[in-house]
Amino acid sequence: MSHDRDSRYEGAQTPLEREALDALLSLRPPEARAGARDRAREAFLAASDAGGAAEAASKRRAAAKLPYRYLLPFAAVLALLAAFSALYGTQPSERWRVTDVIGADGVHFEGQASVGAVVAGGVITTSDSSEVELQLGDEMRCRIVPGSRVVLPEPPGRWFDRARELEVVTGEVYGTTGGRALSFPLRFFTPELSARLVGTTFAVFRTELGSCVCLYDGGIEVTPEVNGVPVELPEEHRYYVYKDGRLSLEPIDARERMKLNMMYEGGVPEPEPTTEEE
Amino acid sequence: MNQRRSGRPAGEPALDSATLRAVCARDRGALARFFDCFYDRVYGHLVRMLGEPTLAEDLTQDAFLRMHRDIDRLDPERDPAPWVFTVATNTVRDYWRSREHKSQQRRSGLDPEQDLALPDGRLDELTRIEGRESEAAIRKALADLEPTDRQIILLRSYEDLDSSTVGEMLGITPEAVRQRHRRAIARLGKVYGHHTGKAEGGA
Repeated sequence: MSHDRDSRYEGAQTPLEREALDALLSLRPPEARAGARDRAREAFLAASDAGGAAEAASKRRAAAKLPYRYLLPFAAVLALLAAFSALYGTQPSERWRVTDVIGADGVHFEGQASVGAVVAGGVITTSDSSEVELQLGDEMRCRIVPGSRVVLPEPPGRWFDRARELEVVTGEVYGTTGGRALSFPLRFFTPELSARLVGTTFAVFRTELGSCVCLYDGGIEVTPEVNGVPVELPEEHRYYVYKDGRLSLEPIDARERMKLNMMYEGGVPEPEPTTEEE
Repeated sequence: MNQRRSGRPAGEPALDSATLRAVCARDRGALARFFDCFYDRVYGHLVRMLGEPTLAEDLTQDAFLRMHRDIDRLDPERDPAPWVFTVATNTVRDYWRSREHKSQQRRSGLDPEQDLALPDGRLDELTRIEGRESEAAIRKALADLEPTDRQIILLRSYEDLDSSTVGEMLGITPEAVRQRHRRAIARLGKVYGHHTGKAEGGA
């Protein structure tokens, strides 16, 4: 069978990965004991007995029971407080707002509102002549350049559920969580000074050759999938992870420096030139 | 050796729309066919996710009872496999979050929030049950994966569910499914290579 035509091998890039999938797909399915299968079948078909069968199955796995009835009122109050906190705390405090767009017709938000409206997260695609910039409250700003496809995360929760992932499928994303335009709410003071906490200005590229992270200021840790070894990126450097497994740490170039500085300063980067040199 | 390229049992009966409509109407004969069609696949999937055959039997029964309870949500015009595996996946997820599971983990000295890998002792049992020691390497590789990686490989590669379907089941975009699937395959290949003593020969 040709691995290339079988969708189950999609994503396998090396002979060893394809061999691992071969081994996986060659596994014979385990068979349940006849008694277990018969019991499950009988319970499934006898819907009126479903509650008893489920309870019997749960009892076989149950730990020692606690006297819940004595704790019920207290637990109810705690549950209400927890439910309110969870409901309120997981609601996003901010939404992504579109703050700049070039070539609006070429910007596509899959499943989301149109350009200029509130964006709740989703896949954003830019044509070769379009760019879009979005800002999340005072916490983050990112700019998606022409020819990109990015999976923008849902805004983080107010108190909980704050970790998020932004995926760069192809193209380039420039972003900042600080610089002159934004800052975190933390400020600190001494008798001689005051200071505000700023964040990180960065870019992520995905090209035909591989992926690259550029750091302008702040801190970023990059972990290549090929070796799983995290690398702390020095400021004004980029880390290129090529598809063939090569790794390269080098200073950022002039073009990247210009665009990253614009992101840091809070201005609008110049549109990409119409003729590419690469 | 005749190697099957799918986890699906040979000779699996097909379920047409008429049968599925009868299933939704809770016709006993149709329900029996539905059970016979999917039991082995669901059980096999849960064994690979949990690593414990006895526990997988219990949770498979629970999963089918959930399906029976919500059987009227089944769309008779669509392949029922994604819905079946969604219920099975949710059953496993609820078990992992349950107080019982976490209590067992604590008693065995494991961190319930971290140690969701397959218990090593069960691998020998699985291999003995299967009677094929040559499968040990891939089973160990699966066991070494994070549960999320294991889940997406089993759904996408073993059960051959497409990215859109898996995305609906897990609440993520098809693009995210493809990205995570690719990363999971890379990790599987690396761990499989470790267990077989085969070094990756480069990209």
